[in-house]
Formats: sequence, structure tokens, C-alpha cells
Amino acid sequence: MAKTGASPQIVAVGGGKGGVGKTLLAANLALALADRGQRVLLVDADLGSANAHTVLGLPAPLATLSDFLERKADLGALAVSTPYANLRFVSGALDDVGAANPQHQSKMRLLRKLSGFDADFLVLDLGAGTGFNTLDFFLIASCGILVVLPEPTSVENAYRFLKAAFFRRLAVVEKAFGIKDLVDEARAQKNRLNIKTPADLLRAVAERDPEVGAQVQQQMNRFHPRLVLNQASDEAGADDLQIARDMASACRRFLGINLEVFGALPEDDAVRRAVRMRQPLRVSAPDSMVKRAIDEVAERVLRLEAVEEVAA
Amino acid sequence: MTATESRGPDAASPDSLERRIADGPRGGAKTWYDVLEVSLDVSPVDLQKAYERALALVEGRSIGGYLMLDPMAAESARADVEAAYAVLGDPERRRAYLELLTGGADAAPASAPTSAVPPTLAQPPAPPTVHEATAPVERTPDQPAAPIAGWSAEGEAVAEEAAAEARAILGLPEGDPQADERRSSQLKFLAPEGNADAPPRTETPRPGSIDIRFAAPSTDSGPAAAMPAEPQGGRTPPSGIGTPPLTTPGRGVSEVAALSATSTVSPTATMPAPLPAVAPSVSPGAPPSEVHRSSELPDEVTGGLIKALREERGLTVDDVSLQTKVRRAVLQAIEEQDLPNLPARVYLRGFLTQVGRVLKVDRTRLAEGYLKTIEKAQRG
Repeated sequence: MAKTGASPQIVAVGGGKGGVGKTLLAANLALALADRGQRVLLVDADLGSANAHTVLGLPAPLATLSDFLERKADLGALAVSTPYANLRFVSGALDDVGAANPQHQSKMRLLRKLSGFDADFLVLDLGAGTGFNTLDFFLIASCGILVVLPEPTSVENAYRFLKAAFFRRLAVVEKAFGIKDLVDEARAQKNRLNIKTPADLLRAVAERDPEVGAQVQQQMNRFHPRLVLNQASDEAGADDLQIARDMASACRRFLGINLEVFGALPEDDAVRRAVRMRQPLRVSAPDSMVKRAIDEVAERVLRLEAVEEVAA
Repeated sequence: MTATESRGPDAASPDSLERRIADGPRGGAKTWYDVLEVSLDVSPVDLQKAYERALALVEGRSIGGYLMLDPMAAESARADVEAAYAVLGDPERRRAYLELLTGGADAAPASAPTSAVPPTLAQPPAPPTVHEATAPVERTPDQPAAPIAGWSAEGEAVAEEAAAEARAILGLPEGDPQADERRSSQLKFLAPEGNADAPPRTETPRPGSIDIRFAAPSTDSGPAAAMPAEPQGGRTPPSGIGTPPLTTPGRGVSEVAALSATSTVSPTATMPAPLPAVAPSVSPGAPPSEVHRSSELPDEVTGGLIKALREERGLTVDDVSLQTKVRRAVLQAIEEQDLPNLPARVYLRGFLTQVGRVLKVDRTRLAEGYLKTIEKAQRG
């Protein structure tokens, strides 16, 4: 995707389940990128239960995304500066029930504004769940990160999120190419065509129309979610990273979803302390393992950008 | 059929197993090797381990596979794993399959080899039996399409203007909606004769084929340090799929052409092998993808020539290893004609054809020529 110089790289942090560390990663990743000289806007896109400001140690903001959605304020005006150089912040709606489920038009307006925001990086902290709003924020990101705990509940939700995001993207692609009927036909004949996975569906489409199939395939190949394992432990022979590898492997082999293991954050008491102190890790635990792990994720994100620039 | 005997009592019936084998992998993997994530020269012991790991994954016994697959997808994934093991676990079948993967590709037209391994060969004239089990679904145009169980993204209807937004977000150019319309009307998706006259399965790039290898986590440092090794290939968005394997990122086609062209200036000066026979064939400006005619390779192909061809194309041993899935050590042994470390002849031939594919020379001739050289060396 040829990005113009003005548009930011968008990093979305999601993961289906609540309490897996999305906000922790998003806020500290945004700060790590800002520390590396990037102009960063952290967006608390957890409409309805935003709390990234707490993780960053900022006061509860006066103006939030609700004001944008209700056309009361422009996005630029909502982006408040923070005590940290290069980092600005937009809060999600805190209490407005309606804002958690904005109208489609409002959401599209927000997505469009975000895509054109003047910054080097946008880091979106997504809410839990697999609602369309969350998925769409995840899908506009050039780097969508899924946070997962080494627990069955979290893994289960992560897969649900991945599948939902895959099909959401497919729906967008169908729409954009005007081929919804074609894909629907394949869906309708799933038994006869033996369609059981996303990969099967794409193949069925390609069998009917190779040209369209190739286009859709190309678009879906760009669905390239990344996985960050949180609270990873290597004690007592529990090879938690193996869980992440297994997930990526299973997605690749059996679903045709190109999931990449992007990092692992160690289990670390520094996190709990940091949240209680309401300070980012850079302040509360600058030498902690988890801070260093998040720095590594930031480095990866930066390298990612470099590659994409070369490609463009 | 030693492979099938070891399957449990609840394994799929032999019929459906054979059907799956004929049909090819149905998940994200391209080949049976990919299904088990093993290299072409995997040992029987490692194959067994990979099979058991894969089973644990599809049966949800490892946390990473937990509830990943809804029952239908799990059944399909399991069938892939069983079929892969049935093929690769049987020496006879494995040899034939490897032959198909490597040698069989020679017959394909030059335009075909865009993917690492042509999946077409796993699908001989696909018997319609695959679909016989379930009756064809009759569907009227206004009947809503049933979503796939467990896979639906049903709900919100996307408005037309949202489609335009979607286009913008995807970074797609504005299409010609009329052309789209024309195209969909041309699609005979509901042909009454069903699948019978469906076009043959086309070689389609499939998602998830990016080769991500992980470094084993080091034991002395925390998980943070145990992050997977740099998966270079996974970085580039269109990553391999739909990208000709020869043109590795950062090394454009034109550059390869330039390399070929410059090497014609004084090939003998640097190349120990009889390169002049090859190099002049690439006339400046000729498409670099042009397969070398058989006459351009000498009857006897030395490891030095293979090395020279590789270097001429600006490829490192690692590049070739990545594209052929042949281990680096084996490739080095081939180039150095390191007789004791060369794999068994049957595998060697397969590897050589893969190398030939990546180097874009006549694969059969390369393999035959090299085997001839090796035989001579062994005699002498």
C-alpha cells in the first residue's frame, strides 16, 4: 500500500479477551516509539471502558472520542500533549453508552481521520470482544497486534478474534471489489465444495474465477496479524513461547491465516507495581524485563516500517 | 502401507484418506511437507515427531491449538495431517510424491512456476467424488447465503459508500463497478451441471505459506530474549505469495538481468566452471526468467557450475535454501561435491531439480548432469 508521506503507520493492539494486557502494551509501546524519536499518537479506542490515561499517569481527560463522534470536537483538538516528548494522547469515551457503539458513518469518519492524522505512528488500544468496531480498528492498522496469555481462555478468544477479523476483512474486500455474490455463492455451497476453513473458501472462489480469486487472495494475504504473548513464563519447564509458536503454526497450516509471533512479555511484578503507581514502565520500572521486552517490540515495529517504506 | 496402520481406530476411512491425498492439502499448507512443517529430507524419526506434534495441535491437546478449530475445520485439519503422514511415512509414496513435486514440474509451462511448489500436481483430474457425499445445494438468487458454521462475520450490512471507504482503507484504486458487474454475471457459479465442468483447479497462491522459522528459545535468558528469530520473509506485505520466487526482496528482476548481462563480459575470469556455455544465452534485455535451453548446460554439471550459476543470479546459499527448503548444509555439499555428505541419490535428484527451478535452468538436465558428475567422481 503506497502510503503518502503524511499518513501515519497504524499499530493496533487487540486480543479478544479482556485483561490480557492490551492497554499495558499499547501505552508502553507508544511511549517506547516516542522515546525513539517518533511522533506518536496513542488512541484509546476502547470505546466505553477506556483507561489508557491511567496507565500513562494522566488525569482523566475532559474531551474524549465521544466529542469527536458527536461532532463536537476535531480529532486534532482532542490530541492532548503528555509529559512525555513526542507522545500525544486521545482518550476513548469514558461513560457515554452510545459512544461504545457509534453509528457506522461516525466510525468511518473516525477511521478516515485517523488514517490521515499528522503523526509518524498511531497506536490504537482496542477494547475487548470481536465487535465490528473493534475489528475495523484492527483492520486499518498496518500492524495489528494480538495480545494473548498462555491460557486456554485467552487462546480461545484470540482465535475467535482472528477468525472474525479475517472474515471482516474478507467482507470489506468483497465489497471493495464488488464480488460479494461470488463469495456468497461459494459460502452457500460450502458442503458441496467441501469448504471448512478460510483457506478453503478462498480456494473455492479462485477455482471459479482465477482472476478474482487472485485479487482476493492478494488482499487477504495482507491480513498479517502479529502475536505478542503476555505473562510468558519459562519456569518449571512451561515453555509458554511454544504456545505462541503452536498458534502461529496452526493458523498457517490449517486455517491459511498468516499469524506471526512478534514477541513475548515475561511475567513480571513490575507490571502490577506500575499499574498501581499509575506510571508507565519507563518511569516505574525502567530496568524491568517487561520494559525491555516492549522495547524490542517497538524495535520490530520500526523495522517493519522500514521494510514497508522500501516496498513502497 | 506402514503409515496408515499406525493410525488410530477413529481415523478416517481409507477411502476418504485416499480422496484427501488426491485432493491435496486443504488448509493453508501447499504441500504435505508443509502440513507437517518438515523439510524435504526429513528423517523418519523427525517425521514421526512432527506427525505427533501436528496431531496434538489439531486435536487441541496442546494449549496453542486449543479450540482453534471448530469441529468441521478440525476434522479437515486432521485429514490433512493423516494424509500427509500416509504419503510421507510410506517410503514408496514419499518418493513418488517428491518426484511429483520436483521432476513433474518440468512438464508445466514456463508461466506456471510462480509458487515454490506447484500444488497442481497433487490434484490429478480431481474426481468429483469429493463432493458426492453431500447433495448439491440448490439455491435461488434471493435466498440468503448461509454463513459457514463458526466462521460467519454476519450482521452489519456494509453500505455502498462504506465500500468506497473500505477501498480507501485497503489502499485500493477505485475500480470500475460496471466491470465488476460484468464479471460477476459471467460467472457460472450455479451451473446446473454442478462441478463437472468447473475449470481445473488453478494454481492459486495460498495464504500462510510464509516460512516462519523460530529459533529455539535460549535457556539462560528470559522469555523476552527468547523471541523468535528474525522472520525476514514475514515482513514484506505481499510476502512470497504471488511473487516469483527468484526475485527475492531487494533484488529486483532487472538487477538479476544486469548481473547476468555483466557476467557475459568476462565470465571465465572469475568463474571456474564452464560458464560461457550458459552466460551468453542471456542476451542483454532478454527476460531474465527465460529458462535456459537444455543445450546451454553441459552434459556434466559440476558443483562449481551450480555455485557459479547461483552467484550469477545474486543468490546466497541461504536464499536458495529458503526457496527450495533444502537445508543449507546439503546445498553446500552439492556445490562442493562433498561426496560423503551428499544425500541419497533419490533425494539428491529431487533437491537438484528444486535448485534448478530456483536457478531457472533446465532442471532435468541440471539433475542428470550433476548425477553424472558425481558418479564419475565416485568411480574415480
